[in-house]
Amino acid sequence: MKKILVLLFLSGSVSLSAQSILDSKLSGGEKGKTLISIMEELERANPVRFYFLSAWLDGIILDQDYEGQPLRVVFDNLFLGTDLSYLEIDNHAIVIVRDPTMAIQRLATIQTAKREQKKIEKLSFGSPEGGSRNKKVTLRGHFKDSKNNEPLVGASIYASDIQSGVTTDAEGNFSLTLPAGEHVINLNYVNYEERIIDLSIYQDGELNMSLDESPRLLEEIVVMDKAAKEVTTSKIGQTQFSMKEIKRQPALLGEVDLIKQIQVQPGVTTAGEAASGFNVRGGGVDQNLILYDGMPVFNSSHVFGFFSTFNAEAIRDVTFYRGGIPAEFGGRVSSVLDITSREGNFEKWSGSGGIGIISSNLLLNGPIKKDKTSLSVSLRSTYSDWLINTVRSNYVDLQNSSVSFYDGSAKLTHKFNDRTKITFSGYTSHDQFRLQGDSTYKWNNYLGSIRLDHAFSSKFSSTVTLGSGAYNYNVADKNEKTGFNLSYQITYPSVKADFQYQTGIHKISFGLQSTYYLFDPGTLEPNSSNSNIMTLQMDKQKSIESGVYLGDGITFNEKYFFEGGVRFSVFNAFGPASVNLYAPGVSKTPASQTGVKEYGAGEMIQTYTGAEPRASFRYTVNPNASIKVGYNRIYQYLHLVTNTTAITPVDIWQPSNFYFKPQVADQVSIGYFRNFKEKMYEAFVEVYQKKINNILDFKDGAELILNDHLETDLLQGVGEAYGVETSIAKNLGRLTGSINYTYSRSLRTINGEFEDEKINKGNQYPSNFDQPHIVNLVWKYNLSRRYFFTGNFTYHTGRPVTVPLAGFLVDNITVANFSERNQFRIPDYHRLDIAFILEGNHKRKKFWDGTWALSFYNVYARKNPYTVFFKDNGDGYLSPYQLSIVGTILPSLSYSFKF
Amino acid sequence: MKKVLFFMLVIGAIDGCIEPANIEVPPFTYQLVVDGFITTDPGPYTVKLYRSRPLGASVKLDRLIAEKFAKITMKDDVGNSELLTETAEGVYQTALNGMRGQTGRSYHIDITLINGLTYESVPEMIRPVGEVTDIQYEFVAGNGAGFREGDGFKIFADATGVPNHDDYVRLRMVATYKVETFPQLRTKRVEGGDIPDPYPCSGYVRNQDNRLVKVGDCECCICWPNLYDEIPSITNEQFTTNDIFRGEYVGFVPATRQTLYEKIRIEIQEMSLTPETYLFWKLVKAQKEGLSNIFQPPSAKLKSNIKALNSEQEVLGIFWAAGIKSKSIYIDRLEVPYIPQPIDTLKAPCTFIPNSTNKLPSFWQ
Repeated sequence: MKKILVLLFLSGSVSLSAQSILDSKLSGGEKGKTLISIMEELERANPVRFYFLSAWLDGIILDQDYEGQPLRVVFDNLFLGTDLSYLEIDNHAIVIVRDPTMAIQRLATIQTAKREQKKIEKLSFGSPEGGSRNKKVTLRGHFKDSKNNEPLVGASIYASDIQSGVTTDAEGNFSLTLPAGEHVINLNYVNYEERIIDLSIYQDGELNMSLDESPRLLEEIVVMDKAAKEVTTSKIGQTQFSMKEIKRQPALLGEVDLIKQIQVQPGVTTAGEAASGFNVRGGGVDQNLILYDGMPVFNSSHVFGFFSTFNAEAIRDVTFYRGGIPAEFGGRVSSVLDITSREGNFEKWSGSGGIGIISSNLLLNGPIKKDKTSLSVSLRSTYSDWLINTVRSNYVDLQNSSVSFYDGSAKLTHKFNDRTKITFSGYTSHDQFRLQGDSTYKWNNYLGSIRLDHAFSSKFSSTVTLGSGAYNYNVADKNEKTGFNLSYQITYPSVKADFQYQTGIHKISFGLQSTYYLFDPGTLEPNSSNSNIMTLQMDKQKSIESGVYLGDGITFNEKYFFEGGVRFSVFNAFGPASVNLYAPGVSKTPASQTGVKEYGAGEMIQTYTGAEPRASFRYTVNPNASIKVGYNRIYQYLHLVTNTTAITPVDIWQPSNFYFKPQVADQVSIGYFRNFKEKMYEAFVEVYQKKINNILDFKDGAELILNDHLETDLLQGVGEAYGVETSIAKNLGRLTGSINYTYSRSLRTINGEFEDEKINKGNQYPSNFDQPHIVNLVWKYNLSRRYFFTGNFTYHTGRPVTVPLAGFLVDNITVANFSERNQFRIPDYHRLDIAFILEGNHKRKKFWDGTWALSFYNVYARKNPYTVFFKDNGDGYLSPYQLSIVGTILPSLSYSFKF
Repeated sequence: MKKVLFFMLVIGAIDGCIEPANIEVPPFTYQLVVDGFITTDPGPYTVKLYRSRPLGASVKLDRLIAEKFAKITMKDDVGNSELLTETAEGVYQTALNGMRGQTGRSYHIDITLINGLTYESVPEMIRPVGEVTDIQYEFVAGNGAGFREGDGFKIFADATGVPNHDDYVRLRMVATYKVETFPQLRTKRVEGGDIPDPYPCSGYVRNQDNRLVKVGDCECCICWPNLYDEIPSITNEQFTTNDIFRGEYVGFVPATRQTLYEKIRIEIQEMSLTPETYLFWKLVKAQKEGLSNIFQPPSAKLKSNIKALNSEQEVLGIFWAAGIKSKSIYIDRLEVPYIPQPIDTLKAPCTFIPNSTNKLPSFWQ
């Protein structure tokens, strides 16, 4: 580093000495003295002179006793993290010098900001005189939206002069450790006005800011992927989403959809348009922990996966972890999607909503008692069945059918004081699907929770959540002879306590969680006395999943950050229950069952435990580049049992039990992140490998619903996934966007002891969602300050399928000889969507703010195959057909508003 | 539970589509298929040998490549055996008074092809069988685009298992109906117009004046075709109480001008299976149901019980043994809730209809 001496005094008289004064040891008792006084004492006792400007050293006090320590150590300690250093000349002159680089940078930053007419605010905590200049100090605080007072999650606090920064946590809080002194702090958040603080800080301080939404849109930062944007602050595999940006992207039938945006993230795939959920780095759909206000959601899909169950208007922020998952989370091995709903405004009532061709939604929020209690309520619903009923179709039943859904949430928040807050949160979603003369399918999610946030001090805070959730589905068939009702339910009350303690460079988190699961795996009943259906009640399954965790995020200095932790999880499956027993030495089949072991109420059937280490590390090579490494082991005790490519609402969740061991995943990832051209471009490449033990797959012809011998139809094996994710984003200018490419594989090996417990003869085979090549392109072009042209293009390799290779007759029934599992692929998938967004004017004070979105989904009308199936045309011909869910361009117009 | 129609509705709504798919598959190999069984009913029993067909080709029996001149020997576990006779190309039968299946005995077949390759089936023991106690039917209106298209009868059956015995049961449906065709009405185009061109079996000939002249009885105007269950109905004790299978859906018989010519005989055969054969039919059922399932469960690969002895070739099909008890009913043409249309004038021998015979079945009343 180039250094400029701004001051250099040289002594005229030189006396030679054999030993450097820097090696002379202090005698003790220096604690509390000023550095200047220590130097004066040394001058009196030794033939040495110190040259310095008093102003620089005023306030520097020895913070400990240095008895026996050489002076060199004292200087090194006191000057660490400051712009001061020292020179020794001929063993008798010590010159204290000041590196002006930081000061120049600070000045330059301020000058630049002034030129750009940015407002610079001055802020002071302590003074050089009163404070200790050689100490590290901590700036803590909280960021919120100036309009609705919602915390801003993932906002950046960056000391540009020393190139060090952090982001706000899920509550909008941050803690930044700085050397005492003067700094320039930049506060940034997507779509919000930047704030620049000229900070003078000599003691710990608190900075609570309200940021304004930015009226300037031509030069904004756009990219949603924080992992790419925050080269120096984010953790590996972590992405935060701006709901505002999601709303500006093209939407299927105008329905803004969070899950659809997840599906275009690097390393994420999906089985197709109508596929529920998403697959992360070769993991199954059930391996994603989707949390809504801290409670797991078991089914995130409306209309079989066309839309997600989350109303974009009701979401405050979203964090997605696909690697380096913190110890706080457990229970799903591939990813965490942490969704927090909006909190009501504590100052005034406001609202927002949207009108689309499928559904409309409305969110209202405001104070019940100003600054004390707020309420936020949202509702989204389809409009009866007019769309279905107006479609011309060859299907007679179509016009007598119904498809409908709704979802709603409510959140009541009360602040007892600045340190204590209680939140009541509720959420529900409902779907109904019916065909005339056929079955009616219904499925529901219910979540409710009470959350208490309390800060014991500025360093120590806690969150305790008590909640309960339920997921159920029901299939009703009204046929006279075969009519039935099939019902299924999971109920899961839960308690969770999280604590965070910050001290110095440590950010310690610890907590515990326990969830009781009551599975009602199925009840089949005749719907009338004429029905031939027999009543069948599957045994209920009870279990408790618990976990304790401890984690520590350590910011060693500007270059090194480490977050480590461990989670211990325990899973207990207990009675009453009947466990089928099978003959040893043969495969498990209903025919090899030898008996049943009965377990009484509360009697333990099986206990599984797991230690789950987590670690992520970031090395900041320079302000524009960093290397990040992550490792995690996670246990998953609940399994989605499905034998279809896309999960369906009537699939079942199976807890680990006597036969089904928990899935255990180990994932390691390493990435290189870099900015170019003053952060205009950002890029990263990340490599990962994942191994999942005890992954579930099914035997050919498995029956999963109402099967009391499920262990005879399911197999456990090993899943392996690996890949390279690359992304480059342009963040500034009228045209912004990103392109990412992922090469990944997802493979499985099921090699049981017996021949019928192997899949593909025990050889490795691709999973249903093994799609090696994935490309996603997202852009936004600002036509003006209010008009945008946005779009996305997605491509992925066709997913694997099992195909018939030959046809034959057996007992007059046409059958096919199928290939080994997943040995062929359906044609590749690619699609282009575009949208024109017309936003209202950006006046800061206005009553009504409306936005029009005109979307075109599947612009070039590609008939992307969702699935390939085989049809016998009645003449013995078995031919492959492909089904495209969306076979044409789908335009849609939607209007959203806020007031 | 998971039905194609799930998505058809939504697909219709947003203009999805179904069209032929092009999937690259390796070059086709014609694999040997074995199709036969023995029961406790009197013989003759049939074993068919033929070659599998490529995807997209017809697997109608008359279009299959028969495996001719093979030697098939049916054997039991007490030393009895019988060499089957090839009664048609690729169709091998036991003698009318030949071997008959007995409960408790095991049976298998040895096969030697003309090229010297040999195969044998895994022995199958005939297990005791219960009885079919009742057959019910229900008329259902179809959803087809055409007039009355898709109309038909859903067939259900009640049956019993064997007390204190693991029951693996297939309820097999054989529907027989009487049909009339008009092979004498065939014409052919010549210069100046159409002239009669009756099939020889019609009993008519064309005279010099190009007129039809009856010269004998028609041998191919009245037939009794058989229809079979398209998806095997299998069940085991999981869904039973006291070994009673109640209201099992067995199959569908279309109500057409042909089937409603007079009446339809429904025969339900209860067949006791070994666990291995039960699994085979379970996989057939899963495959049939899964083929057109939009959610696409990866389809089941059927495991044959025929082993190649002197080659590595994979063999398809099954030879199985079953105890059997049957029950039958008739469904009259007037059971449809409308006046049936008169039979259409099919100008072809009735024997052209698949699985039909022009010989009056002994059971036909």
